[in-house]
Order: sequence, then structure tokens, then C-alpha cells
Amino acid sequence: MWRYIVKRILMLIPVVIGASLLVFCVMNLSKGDVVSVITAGADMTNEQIEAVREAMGLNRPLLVRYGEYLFGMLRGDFGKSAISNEPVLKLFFTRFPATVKLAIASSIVNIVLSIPLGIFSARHQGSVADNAAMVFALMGLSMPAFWLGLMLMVLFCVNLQWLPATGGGTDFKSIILPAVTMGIGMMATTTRTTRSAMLDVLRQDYLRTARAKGVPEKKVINLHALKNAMIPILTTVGTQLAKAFGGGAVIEMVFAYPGVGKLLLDAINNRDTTLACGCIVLQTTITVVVLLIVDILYAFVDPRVKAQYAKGGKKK
Amino acid sequence: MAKKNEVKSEKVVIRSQGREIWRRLTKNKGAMIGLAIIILLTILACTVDLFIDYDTQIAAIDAKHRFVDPCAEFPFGTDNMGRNLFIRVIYGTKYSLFIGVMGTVFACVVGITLGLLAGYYGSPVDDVIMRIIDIIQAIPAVMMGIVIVSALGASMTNLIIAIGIAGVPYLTRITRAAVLTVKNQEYIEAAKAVGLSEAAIMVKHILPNCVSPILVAATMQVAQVILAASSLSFLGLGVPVPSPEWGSLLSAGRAYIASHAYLCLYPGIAIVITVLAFNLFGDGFRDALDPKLRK
Repeated sequence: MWRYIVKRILMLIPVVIGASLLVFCVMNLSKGDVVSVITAGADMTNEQIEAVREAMGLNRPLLVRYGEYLFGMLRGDFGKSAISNEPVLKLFFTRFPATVKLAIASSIVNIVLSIPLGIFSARHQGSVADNAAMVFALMGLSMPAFWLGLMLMVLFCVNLQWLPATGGGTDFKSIILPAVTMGIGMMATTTRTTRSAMLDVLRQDYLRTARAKGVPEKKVINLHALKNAMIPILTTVGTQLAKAFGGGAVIEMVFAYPGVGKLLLDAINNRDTTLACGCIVLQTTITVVVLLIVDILYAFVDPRVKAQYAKGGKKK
Repeated sequence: MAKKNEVKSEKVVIRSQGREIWRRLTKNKGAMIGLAIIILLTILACTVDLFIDYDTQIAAIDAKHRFVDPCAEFPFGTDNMGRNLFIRVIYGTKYSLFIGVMGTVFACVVGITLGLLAGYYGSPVDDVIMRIIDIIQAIPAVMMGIVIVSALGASMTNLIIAIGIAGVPYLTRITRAAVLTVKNQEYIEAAKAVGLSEAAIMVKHILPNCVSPILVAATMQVAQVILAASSLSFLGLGVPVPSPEWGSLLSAGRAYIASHAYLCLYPGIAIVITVLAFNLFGDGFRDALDPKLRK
């Protein structure tokens, strides 16, 4: 078990380095760099602009700069934003709590919507209601998240005026719409997992036994069946949570929500390579680590999987 | 001789299986509705230039009819430049479907090649390819798209490449998994024994037997590509204006959303219907290929 965890952690290193190299190179190939953004509109000669570039060390070869960046990163120094001159780590972690809050809130929405819907579908398998529920869940997967966000905004903020339109505030109300938008996007996968996991369990003999000895139907479903269907459901919820740490940029933009996604988008628009790279590397690392934790928890919860790892078998 | 027989019996199996799959597929109402919508949209996308003139009906500005609410003459209303939104959404089918299909083709070409090589040769080729795939997959798809498009510049080709790359890991994994199940079969051994080249074995004998999971993945991928493309267009990283790609329409309508919400409503519905159609069909297709799932 420990060997597996250590191996997985070691495998993270090339992934993070590769991702940073990829982003660093692509960002540096872009037309226009951060200097052209800073000096835009300023009355400067080409020589002066070149001097700024040289002072920032941007005229050196790409690989030299990447090497320097990588060594800094390995020491925990992600450099400074070229625009605000603040350390990248500080900028990232002032925004990060907001993203965590949004990811957790949307996971709660996800759980509250999809588990009951999945159980309902499984219990009425093949019926019209089951099909309707599945199409509804599929709708969540088929909508552009930003569009759903905009539509909810029109309905609840402009027409009904129940909620604030931007997620910038610190109060509870401002997070509702971003969380619901993101949660509905996650719902499709979780609902389907819940349904198929419940279908598997509902056929088991011990449920017939429970019913035969007179356990009320509600208790059969919620206690006996759901508990055993929980492992795949929790894995899906965990995976979705991990993705939410990295994939909410567009939703954050629609609601002007001050998370890391918006920080990244702004950084890319300003050609602030250091900040953009730092954000992507940090977000990627966090996503991959959360996925790893989900995997390990999965092994701990399910004795069968644990036994497989103990034998040294590969996860397949 | 042995090879000839092998190929022959293989063909027979594929055809009868194909019929069986089609029979199961036609029983699935959702998949059939999806397929019907896909066919309809494809016909629309191919013929749209015959009855809509780009210069006069799409790009031309009509100052007299700015912000007309949806009515009989303008079913979806008009935008800030007086252009008929209904015509624009219809014309946008061409762009969105084209991006969806081309992005998927890109992901398929790269993904299937990598998957075949990784699955067929095994370690160490497999290790190298899969680690690269891990790296691409670790970066969230939309972010990857944003970085690539902002580096290459906003155009339709760059958009397709950016989103195509994000789909590569999925198709590589699917292909690799399918190849692994096929490559130890006896007919592959037979093909090796008669001295076929490795490339021929991969393309003629392994790939045709991996087609079904790849087709399902590709169908679902079209849906994903259309969604991702609309996200990037929405961020201003997609098809340049005034082309009425659906994501760009949403992006343009967003400025007036408080007063004229219909500008965002209809292009969004068009996206939802298209993506839902591909998802429904992909789902039904997968169930038809694997009847155990549908029990």
C-alpha cells in the first residue's frame, strides 16, 4: 500500500515538470510579450522598450529562462508577477480559498441533486420517469456552463432580483449561483454512477433478505442499499471535486468570482507568463493530488481494492 | 490461404454484428432522436450557403432594426446591429458543427496513432507515450485551450487545434485499451506468421477490430469539442467576428444581457440541442455495442 502511494507521488513529478515546460514554452511563443502590454500607450522608443525587455531578462534563450524557472520552482519560488511585482505564490494563495469554497459548494449541490435523482431512477428502472431523469442529467452535461450561468443570472438577478449578480461579495448569497451552475455541470456523471451502482446493489440477495425480514422499504434503500453503493458514488464526487479546482475559470469569469481561474485568465491576457505558468502548475498539482487522495481513500474504503494493492497487483 | 480465410470470416462477423448493433440502436428512442437531429443539422450545415447570403444577411448592418424583440418577422429578434438573430443562429450551425467534427478528427488522428503505437509495442514506447498523455491530461482542457489559442492567435484553425489536443488523451487511452484486448488474439499471431509488416498488422488487422469503442468515443468527443469551442469563443478566443459561431454570438450578446436576454438565450439553446443530440446518440451507441450495460 505505502509503496503504491510513494510510487504515485513520484510519478507526479514528471507530470508537473512536463506541464510547466509545455505551458512555459507555449506562453513564450505567443505574439507579444508582457513588455508590449506594460509599455502599450507609453511614449517610448524601440530602444527603450528593448531596454525594459533586457532588464527583465526576457531576451535570453527560452530554455535558459525555463531552466531558471524550474530551479526556482523546485525550491518553492514561483517568481514574481511581471505586472504587479507580487510573488506568484502569494497572489495564488490569496485567491485559492475562494476557489476551494466554490468547488466544495458546487460539490454539495452535486450531491444533493444527483444522489436522490440516481436512486429514484434506479428504483424506477426503465420507466418514463427514469428516462426523463436520465435525459435531465444528460442536459447538465450538454450545456455550456457559462451559458447556464448567464441564464440563471438573468432569471434570478435581473428578473426576480433575489440574488446578487456577481460572486465578488463575501456573503452566502453571492456563491449560490456560481455553485449551482457548476454543480449542475457535475450532476450528469454522478447521477449516472449513482443509478448504475444502485442497480447493481438492488439485485443482491441481502436486499431480498432485508425485505423478507420486514425492514421498511425506506430503510432498505437508504441504509442497506445506498451504503453499499457508496464507493463508486464517492469516487465520482471526489473526481468531480478535483476537476472543480482546475476547471472553473469560465464560470469564475461569468460571475466575476475572485478565484484562481480569473487570476489565470487575467494573467494570460496580460501575457504575464510567470503568473500564468505558476497558476497552471499549482492548479494542476492540486488537481492531481486530490485525485490521488481519492484513489487512496478508495483503496482504504474497499477491502477488495486494498487486498489487490497489498498483493502488488496493478490497478487496472 | 490461411490469411485469406481469416479475412473472409472476419468480414462476415463484422457485418452480422453490425446488423445486430443497428437493430439494438433503432430500439433506443433517445439514440434515434439524437441521430435524427444530427442528420438534420448536418444537412443544414451543408446547404446553408444555398439560401443564406453571407454578405447581405449575416454581415450587413441594419440600423433601422436594432434590438427588435422576437416577433413574426424576426423569430429570435435582432442584435445591436440590427442583424436577424434567427438567420445568424442557423448560419452558425456550419461553424459549430465544422469545428466539432474537425476538432474530433484531429484528436482521432493523433489519439488513434499514439494509442495504436502504445498498445502494440508495449513498454518502453507505451511508457513514453502514456507519460506524455498524463501530462496533457493533467492540465484542465479549457485552460490548455486558452493558453494555446492565446499563443497562436485567435482563428478557427487554431481553435480546432487547441481543442483537438485536449481530446487526444481520451482517444489515446480508448484506442490503447482496445488494442491491448485485440493484440494477443490468434489471428494477429497468424498475420505475424505469414510475414505481414507491423504497420499492415496494426492498420489492417488490429484497427478494424478496435473500431467500435473508438467510434463511441469520437461521437462523445464531438459534443465535448463543441462545448469547449463555445467556451473559448465566449472568452473571445474563437472565431473572429462577424462570423456567427454560437459561442461568439453568446459572447456578443452578453453585453446586453440585462436588457435583451434573448440574444443569449437562442444561441445557447442551439448549442444545448446539438450537444445533447451527440451525447444521446453516443450513449445509445455504447449501449448497443455492449448490451450487458442496458440490462
